Amino acid sequence: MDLESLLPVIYSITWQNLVMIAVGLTLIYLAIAKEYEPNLLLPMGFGAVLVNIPLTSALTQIDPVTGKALEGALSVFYEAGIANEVFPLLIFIAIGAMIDFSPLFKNPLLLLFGAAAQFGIFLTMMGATLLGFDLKEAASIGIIGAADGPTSIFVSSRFAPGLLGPISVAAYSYMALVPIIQPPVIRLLTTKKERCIHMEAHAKNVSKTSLILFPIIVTIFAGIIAPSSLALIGFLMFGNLIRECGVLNKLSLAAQNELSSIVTILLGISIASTMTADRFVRLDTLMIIGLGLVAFIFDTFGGVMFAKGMNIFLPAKKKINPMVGACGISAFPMSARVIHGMGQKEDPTNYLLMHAVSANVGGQIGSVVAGGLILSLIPLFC
Amino acid sequence: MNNFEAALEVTGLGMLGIFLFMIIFFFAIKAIDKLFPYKQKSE
Repeated sequence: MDLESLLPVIYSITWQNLVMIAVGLTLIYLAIAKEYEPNLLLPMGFGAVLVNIPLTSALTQIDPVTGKALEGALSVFYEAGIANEVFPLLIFIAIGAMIDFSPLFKNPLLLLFGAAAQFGIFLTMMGATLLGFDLKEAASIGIIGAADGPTSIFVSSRFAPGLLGPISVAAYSYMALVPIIQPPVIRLLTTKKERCIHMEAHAKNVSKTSLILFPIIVTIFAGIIAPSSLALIGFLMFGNLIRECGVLNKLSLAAQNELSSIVTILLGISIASTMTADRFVRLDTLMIIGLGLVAFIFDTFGGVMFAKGMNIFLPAKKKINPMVGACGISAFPMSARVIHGMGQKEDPTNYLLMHAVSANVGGQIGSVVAGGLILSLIPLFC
Repeated sequence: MNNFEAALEVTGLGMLGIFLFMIIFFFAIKAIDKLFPYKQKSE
């Protein structure tokens, strides 16, 4: 028996496999050493190593002797939870159970930043078409700018499953890099005087009835306007209703903890099943990574410029600190923390956290609405 | 229609749609808050 039949992996490994194993190890390093979105990047990184060792039993392989398919666990997970979009939707129940919408009731005007800061999604989509991607692929790349992993996965698994790996990696990596991406863009677009604007505090309580009605009403309106968005928005709001109803505390906690943890593990490692060398080591991947950064930059641009535009019409006492506009990007709650930190750096007496969280919650809704609208609109043009 | 023109149209409709959604949610919040204000005793 020769060495090739004893160690077939050594003879079948390609440089592309080695590149992908290095990518996987880098993701593991970033997750552990830098704590960049470790919940997702670690399973994705480990999965990338698993699927790039030739003849891996983690993926479905064809038996060379019998010609029959030998099912691999990651391929089964992918078909069971990503191809049919179940895992991202389950994550939405968990996210809904984690979100407190009461900051929005204190200053609902900030909800509009959740719309303005989705600008990067659409600008990136246009840029992607100019680089040769078709409309469905371009929309899936643009949705990286939703700064919301499950929305990116949901949209790209429907429109461009072949690009799911790089899109997911870009989405989660840039979400982790919000503290590095947003501050220079904000500083470039604002003056020190603008960054020092103090905003009026809205200290008021919200009734339990209001918090229960909000997810129900949002779901009904979303269903009437864009039925294609209902799965995304409906599952998010269902999770929130479980949280707010007050009679399902056990389920709410389970959604926030056990459900979130289990599905995150499965989601991360299943996405890795698409991170094979033949799909990932391509020029397209580099373009997707670059376009993802563009999306985050122009989301921030959209939010900040919208706030500056609003300030033209608002009275002096009601002016909005334009940095808060940048929180309309989803990336909850990282973006709010970053903006509060920047405000404190400019003026230690300026407390922007409450306003930043309101805009950030608006961004969470905005990103899901953007995903739903893209799902509705793109088929009309294809 | 080429992909870029289609993307441009999706951008216009998409941004309009998001703002429309958010304005509806804004008024929904205002209405809910008005109809069911926080009451110290009943809460």
